[in-house]
Amino acid sequence: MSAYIIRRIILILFALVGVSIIISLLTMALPADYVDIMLGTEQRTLTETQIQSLRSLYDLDDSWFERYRRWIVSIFQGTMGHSLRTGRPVSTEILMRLPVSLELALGATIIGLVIGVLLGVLSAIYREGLSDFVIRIFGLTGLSIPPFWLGLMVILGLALFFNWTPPRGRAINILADPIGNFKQFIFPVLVLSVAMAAALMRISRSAMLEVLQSDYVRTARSKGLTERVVLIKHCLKNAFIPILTLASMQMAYLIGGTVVIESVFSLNGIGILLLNAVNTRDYALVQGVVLVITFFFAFINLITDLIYGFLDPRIRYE
Amino acid sequence: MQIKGLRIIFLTLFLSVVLTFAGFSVNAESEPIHGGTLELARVDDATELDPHTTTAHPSRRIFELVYSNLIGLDADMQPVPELAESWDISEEGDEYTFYLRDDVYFHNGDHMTSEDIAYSIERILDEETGAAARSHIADIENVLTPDDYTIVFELKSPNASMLLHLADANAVIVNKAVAEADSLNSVENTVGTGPFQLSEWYPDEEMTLIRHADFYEEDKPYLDEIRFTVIPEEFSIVAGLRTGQTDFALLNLPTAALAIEEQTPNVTLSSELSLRWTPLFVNTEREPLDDIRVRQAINYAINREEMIASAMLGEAEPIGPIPSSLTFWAYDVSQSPFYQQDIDRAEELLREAGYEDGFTISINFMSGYEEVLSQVQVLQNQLEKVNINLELNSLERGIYIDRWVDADFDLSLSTNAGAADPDFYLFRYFHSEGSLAFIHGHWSNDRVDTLLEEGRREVDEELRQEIYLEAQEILIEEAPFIWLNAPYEYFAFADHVKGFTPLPTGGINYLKDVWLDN
Repeated sequence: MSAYIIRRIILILFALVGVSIIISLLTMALPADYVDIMLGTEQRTLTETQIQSLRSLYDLDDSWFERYRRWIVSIFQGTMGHSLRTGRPVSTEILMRLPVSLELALGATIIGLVIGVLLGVLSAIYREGLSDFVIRIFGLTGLSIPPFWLGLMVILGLALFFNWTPPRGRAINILADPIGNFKQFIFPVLVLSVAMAAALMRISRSAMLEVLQSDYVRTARSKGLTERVVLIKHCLKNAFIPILTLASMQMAYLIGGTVVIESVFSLNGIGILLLNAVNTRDYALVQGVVLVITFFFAFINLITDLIYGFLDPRIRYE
Repeated sequence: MQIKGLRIIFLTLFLSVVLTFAGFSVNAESEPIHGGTLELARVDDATELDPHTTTAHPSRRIFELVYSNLIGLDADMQPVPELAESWDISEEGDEYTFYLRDDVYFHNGDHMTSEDIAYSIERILDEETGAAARSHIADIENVLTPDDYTIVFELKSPNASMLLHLADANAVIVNKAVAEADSLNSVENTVGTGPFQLSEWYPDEEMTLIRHADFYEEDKPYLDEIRFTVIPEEFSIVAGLRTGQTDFALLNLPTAALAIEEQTPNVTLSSELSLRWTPLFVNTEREPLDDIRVRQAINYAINREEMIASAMLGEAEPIGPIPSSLTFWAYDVSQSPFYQQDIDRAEELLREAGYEDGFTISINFMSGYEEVLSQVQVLQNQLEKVNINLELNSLERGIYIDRWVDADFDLSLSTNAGAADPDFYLFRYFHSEGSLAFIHGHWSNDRVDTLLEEGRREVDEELRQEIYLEAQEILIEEAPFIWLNAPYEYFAFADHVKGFTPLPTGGINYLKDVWLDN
C-alpha cells in the first residue's frame, strides 16, 4: 500500500512537471502580452521607447526558457513568481483565495452527496412510483438550470422577499467568524450543490437499481436480513463506487470552476483569480493557479482511489 | 456568463414580481454632516496604482480621489482651480503660468510645492516612465519653478487643449520624494494630496479609502471612509442597493440601470451622457471600403435610432465625431443627411460604385460585452437590406487589441475612452500625422489637416468651435469612421447620499462633497 502511494505521488510529480511545461508554453503563445492589454488601443499613442521601458519593467523581454527557469526556481523558493499586477508572490495570492474555493467545492460536494444519494436511493426503492417521478423531475431540472441564473435568482429573491443580501467584499474566515462565514457561503454552496445533487441522484439511482437486482441482494434478503441492513450494508456500499467517482471528479472540477457563482456572490476564489489573470496576461499567476488546480485534481484522484479499496476489499494496490 | 436571453428573462421577472413603490421623497436642503462610511460597489477593481502608467478606468476612479491635479473640471467640463488657484496664459498661447495654493499637504504630511508639480510633469514626459498622458502634453518644452508656489510651462507650440489634459486622472501630481525613492505601484507609496487616502487594498475584493484630514479644501471631505467592494455581476449590485448593503454604485449595463430606475425605491439613478463613444472603425485601405461611395452607403443604410432602441434599450444617443456630451463642440447630427436612414440612396451609391450585387465584409469586436454583440447583430441586419453581408468576428480582448493596433480588419466596433477636449477625438485620428491615423488606413484630407492644426492653436473658443464644426462636417461626409452612439455613465446612490455631482467622464472626483444624511 505505501509503495503504491509513493509510486502515485511520483506520478503526480511527473504530471505537474508536464503541466508546468505545457502551461508556460501556452501562456507564451497567447496573443498580446501584459503591456498590450494594459495599454489597449492607446498603445500606438506611446513612443517605442515608452513601450520598451514598460516591457522591461515587467520582464517581458526574456526568452521562454529564461522565464521557465526563473519560474521553476521561484517555485522552490516558495513564491511561484510574482503577479505582474500586484507585485505580490503568486503563492500569497493563491493562498488568499484558495480557502474560498475549497469551502465552496467541499461544501457543495458534501451537501450534494447527502441529498443526491438520499434521493437516488429513495427513487430506486420506489421505482416508477410517484416519489421516483418527482425526484427524477428534480434531477432533470437541477441539471438543466444554469448555476449563474439560479445564483442571481437567489440573490434577488433574498433582496426582494427578505430585504437581505449575503455579506460581500472580503471572504470571512471560517475560524475567525463562523457565523459570518456561514452567512456568506451558505447560499452559493447551496446553489452549487443543486447541480451536484442532481447528477449524484441520477447516478445513485442507476447504481442502486443495478445492485438491487443482483444475486447477493436476493441472498441477503432470503437470509432474513432486515431491509435496512440489506440496503445500507449490501446495496449502498456496493453502489458507492460510481457515486464516489462522479463526486470526486465534480469536486475537483469545482475547485477551479466556480467562476460564475464567485462573480454573482462576489466571492473571490481561484476561479476568478485565474480568469482575471488570463484576461490580463498575468503570466506567473496563470501558471501558478493552473498548477495548483492540477495538483488538486491529482490529489483528489489519489484519495478517491484509496477510498475504493476501503469500499471494495477486492481492489488491491499493487 | 453574460447571456443576453437570461438577462431579459430575469429583467421581466424582476419587473413583474415586485410592486412599484412610490417615487422619491423631497429632500430639504440642509447642512452637510461629517462622518460615516460610504459603501461603494462596482464591477471591476483597480488594476495597478501608478497613476501615470495605469490607464484602466477602475484605477482612474481611485486616482481621482487620492491625488489632485493642477486644475480640475466641473460638471460642464470647464477648468476649475485645484492645486493651482489661478493661471495665466500668454497671448501667443505658448506659456502657461500657474499660481499654486500654499496650504497643500500630502497624505504623509509633506508640504506640496512647485517642485512636486515640476517633478510630476517631467515624470510623465520622461519616456522611461511609459506614461499614457505623455502624448497629450508633449508640447511642454520647459518647466520652470520661479518660486515655491509658481510654475511655468513653456510650450513648443500653442496648444489650446493643454488645460484639459492637465486635468486628466493620469496627469495627477505625485510626491517627488516618494516617487524618486520607489515604485508608485503600492498602497504605501500611493501618497497624494487628494481628499482621501488609500488605506487598505485586497485586490478584486475590497479597497478602503480614509479621510485626508489636511485636505486643502476647508471642511472637506465629509465622509470618514469610502469602501470599494468589487461585485462582478451588476444585478447582484442592484440587489445590494435595494437592501441597503450598498450606498453608491457605478454601473455600466442599461438593463441594470433600468432595473434601478423602475424597481428600486430610495435609490436615485443618475444617467450622464458619456464622453465614451462607439464608432465603426473603417479600414479605408481595403476594398470595397476604399470607395467613399461604399462608406456613405453604409452610413445611409444604418438606422442609429433603431440600433439604440433594440440593442441598448434606448440608453444611448447618436453621435458625430465629437460626442454630444461635449455640447459646445459637438456637431448636431440631426441636421446631417447622413444620419437619416435612406435605403434607396444607399443602393444607388452601391450601384454607382459597382456593387449592386452586394459584397461580404467582416467586423471585429470584443467578446463578453452583451451590448456590443447586440449592436453588431442589429448592424448585420440593417446592412443585409442593401445586400452587404456582414461576417461577425467575436474576439477575445487580447486578440482584438492585437488586430486593432495592426489595423487588421474591415470594420471594427468598440466603445472607446473619451476626454473633455475636442482635439482628443480628432487630431490623433484624422490629422495625417496623428498617432492613430493608421487605424483607418491613412485616409487624409488637406482641409481637415489645416483645420485640426488651427483648432489646436486657436485660443478663442468661438473661433475654435467653428473650426471643429467644419472639420466634423467633412469627416461625416468622407466617413473614415462611421460614428454610431455614446452610452451613459450610471451612478446609482441611496437617498441618504447627498451632494454628489456626476461627471460625463464617469469620474467620481466629487465624492469629496458627499455626505451621509442618516
